[in-house]
Amino acid sequence: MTASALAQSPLLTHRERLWPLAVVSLCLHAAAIASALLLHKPSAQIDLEQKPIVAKLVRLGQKRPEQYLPRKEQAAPPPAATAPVSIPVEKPSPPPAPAAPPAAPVARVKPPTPKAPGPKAAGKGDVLSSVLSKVKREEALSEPAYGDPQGDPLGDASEASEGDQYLALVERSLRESYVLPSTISERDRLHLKATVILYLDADGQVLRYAFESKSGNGGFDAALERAIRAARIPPPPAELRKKYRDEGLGVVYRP
Amino acid sequence: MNSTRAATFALALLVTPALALAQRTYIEVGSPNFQPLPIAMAPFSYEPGAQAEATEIGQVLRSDLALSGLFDVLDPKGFLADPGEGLSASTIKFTRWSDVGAEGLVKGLVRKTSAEAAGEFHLFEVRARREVLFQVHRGPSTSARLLAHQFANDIIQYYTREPGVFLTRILALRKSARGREVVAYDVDGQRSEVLYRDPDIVLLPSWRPDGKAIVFTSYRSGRPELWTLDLATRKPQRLIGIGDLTTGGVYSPDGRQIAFTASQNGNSDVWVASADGSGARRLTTDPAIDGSPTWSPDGKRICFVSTRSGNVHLYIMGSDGSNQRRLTFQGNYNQTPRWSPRGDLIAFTARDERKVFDVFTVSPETGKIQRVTQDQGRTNEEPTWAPNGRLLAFTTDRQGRPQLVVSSPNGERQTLVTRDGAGVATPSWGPWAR
Repeated sequence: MTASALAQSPLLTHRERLWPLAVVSLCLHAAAIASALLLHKPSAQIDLEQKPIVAKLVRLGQKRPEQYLPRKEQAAPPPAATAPVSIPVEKPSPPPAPAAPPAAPVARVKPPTPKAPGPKAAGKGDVLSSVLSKVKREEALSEPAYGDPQGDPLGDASEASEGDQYLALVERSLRESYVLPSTISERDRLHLKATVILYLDADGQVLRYAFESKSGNGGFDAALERAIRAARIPPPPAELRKKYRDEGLGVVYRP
Repeated sequence: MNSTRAATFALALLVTPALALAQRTYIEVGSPNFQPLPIAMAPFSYEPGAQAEATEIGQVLRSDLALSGLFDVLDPKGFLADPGEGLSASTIKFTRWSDVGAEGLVKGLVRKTSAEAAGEFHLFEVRARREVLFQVHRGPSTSARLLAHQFANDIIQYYTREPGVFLTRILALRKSARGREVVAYDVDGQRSEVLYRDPDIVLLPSWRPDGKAIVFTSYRSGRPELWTLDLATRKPQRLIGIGDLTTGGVYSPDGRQIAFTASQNGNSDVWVASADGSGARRLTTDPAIDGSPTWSPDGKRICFVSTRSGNVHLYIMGSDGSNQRRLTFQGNYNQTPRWSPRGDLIAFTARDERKVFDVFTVSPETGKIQRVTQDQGRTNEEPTWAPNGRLLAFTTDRQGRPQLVVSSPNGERQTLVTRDGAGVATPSWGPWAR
């Protein structure tokens, strides 16, 4: 085939007719890729400060009146321990009965304090009445477990917040094992922070964990490792198992 | 073609982890349960004649460390100290201490002469297997308690980088057969010292910030007025008397002013005067009852109690009486506020819906109230802060007559430190200086 024959080939003519289309196609692809990259840019940034919504299970019950003083959620601490040292204390010198004190000044206004019933003659009938009055006193002091009419019978919080139930359970289980030594100073508590990635199996067991960032305080980081080993995390929902096994769950610990 | 494939593969390698990372869920876990650091104290060694001092120092140091709320002092019955161990790290079998759960180890040697007692104290970190603190303290032969308090402060300083409070004292009122007494206790409730005794009523003692004098309310002149007592001379001196009643004096943190409650023509208000009693001026003018002032640590604000809302609540104002605003909205009988030296909390007494008096704290910025005592007797009241703001003291009737409790600010660790037959009232925790 000669050169003139090639120049007149129908194929070549066809390719020459297509080049404008190819250019247009290239431009369109470039625009699509560019726009995709531009649109994707924000989501590619990892915001470790972003908090997922975590919920507490709200107890089923009546709402606590807002004007009431707060109560502690956990059980009351045990009766105060007495100081272990028993060095002899200075003894007050003996008796003459003190004179009746005059009235206290008004500035520290104090309402009449409820008085404990005084000692009574211990007759047989009084035993029953004293038991009944004790029961009544204890009833008066007992605190209803406030919650929410829409709450969960197994809930442990008195106020509601919305959020992901599984993450709420994970957060609670991690918090239960989250124990730090009291000696970590107040100043350190203001800025300590570490991020750990937990890889979970279908049972919620921690397959492995890795520090994404350490706090720089050996005592704090060691306590986190103990906390993770002690945590009892519930099994992830079926649809999240692969995610938490392969990608892990990030946990940002702060004091 | 090969180069195109390679570029695509490289791009995929770069992009895939980023996408995976972008999808990872993060949660935040806070509010840890702070637990005391397990610390062991080996029985202190002693030279001849110093056994009693060694025992006393050990007891007081153990008590101080436990009271701080920072340490779990291991029961000596739980381990058998090896008498072959010395006071240097090279002689200590750290594995044995680690096995009993200790993270810190305290050892010491006590000496005594006719004129002097001395303690050589060592602190070791068990995991690191090294000595981290060594101190020698000396004092008069009767100063065993003092030496123990000094080393307790050293240990607190080492772990928290903040000074300890075991050389400070707590004032309180006590009734005796000879009248009302203003008593100073060591922080562990021991070594009570009567600073002042009055056959009449004495109320609301409070320290001057330099620790060299106290102010209190006395009826010596026939009506309640503010009096001071120089602790060096023990001589009481009348300071201020305004109207029908003057009471509840508290010095500003710099010691230059004193705030108090005074009632004129039946209207109780908050007043401020110079520390020498001159230049008294009224800060509140509301016809309701205003009183019980407490200074913020920078001296720029005053928290006080007022009935102006109908119930008894806490209010805050500038130290010149400006910008008065209500702080508490829960409860209906909130009183005896005490501003923390850290400035972040105000402790107070409140009566809850069951008519029980308990101790609470409130943030002066947010107004958020947290409970300190709960279901521990019918009356827990009159809180006062340690100068480092890490501990509270208040009185409680949980074991009968009111006694002094030292507590962490959240109430998780509370220790009853006095067992005074007459009971104690209105404690006031002293400053650093003695």
